[in-house]
Amino acid sequence: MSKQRGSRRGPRWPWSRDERQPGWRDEFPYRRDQDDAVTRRHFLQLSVITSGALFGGTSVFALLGRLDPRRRGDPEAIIATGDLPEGEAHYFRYPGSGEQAVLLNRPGQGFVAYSQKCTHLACAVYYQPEHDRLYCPCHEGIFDPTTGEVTAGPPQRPLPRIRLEIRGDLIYALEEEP
Amino acid sequence: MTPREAQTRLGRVRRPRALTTLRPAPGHRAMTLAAVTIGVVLLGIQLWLLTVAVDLYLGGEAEEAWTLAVASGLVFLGGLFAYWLLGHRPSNG
Repeated sequence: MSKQRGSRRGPRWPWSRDERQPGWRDEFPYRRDQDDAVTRRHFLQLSVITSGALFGGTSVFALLGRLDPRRRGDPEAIIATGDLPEGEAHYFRYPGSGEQAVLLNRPGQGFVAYSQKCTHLACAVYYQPEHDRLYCPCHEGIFDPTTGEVTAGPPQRPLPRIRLEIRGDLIYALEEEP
Repeated sequence: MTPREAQTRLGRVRRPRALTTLRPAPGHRAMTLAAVTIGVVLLGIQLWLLTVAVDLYLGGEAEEAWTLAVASGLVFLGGLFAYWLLGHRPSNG
């Protein structure tokens, strides 16, 4: 029997069986008459691996949320309170020198500050006093200047808010909240 | 070799023994289909949980996202259990 198979498929010696296997056998190690019994198990194995990867991804974001590394910035003086009249905006750089933010003096509500980076595609938003809104010119995203919430356009999340504190007559940015 | 022998031999080549002699039990295919469907739905739920976790994280509200991770982990553990169960059960094709 083995002699017959050997003569039909070629001599076995000096090559081992594994050496004669084509390369794709490593990726799909099933014989034709065994695939019915094995593939289901292999499919379940792949499904469990996928499930584990999805679980890992969810856990990573949950953990990042607990650690909250997105609150950032050191206290930094922005402007004197008397230099920003009510209803006007002041643009400054925070938390880094390459990141822009906007400080607003809301009539009857005080000072609020937001990152200028639109939460849609990161264009710079600016304050339009005639419409009393924060406006992103790239895709016409509009934000409420009092809360930073989206009021129109494609953005899905509010603008990151910058926590403020008044020390003496100076307004300080403390940190950027996500 | 007679034509019948040749046909038998050819048939044996085309139809592996496992496919010709082992027939699934009645209802086996339906159960397999149900299991695959449930698995696909559970994976879809896990994918949805991941997108919710990403959305919460980007929105700065990911403090509560651990519940999503727990739910996803339960699905994963269920899959592991099913895999373990299949590994300890003889396959009937």
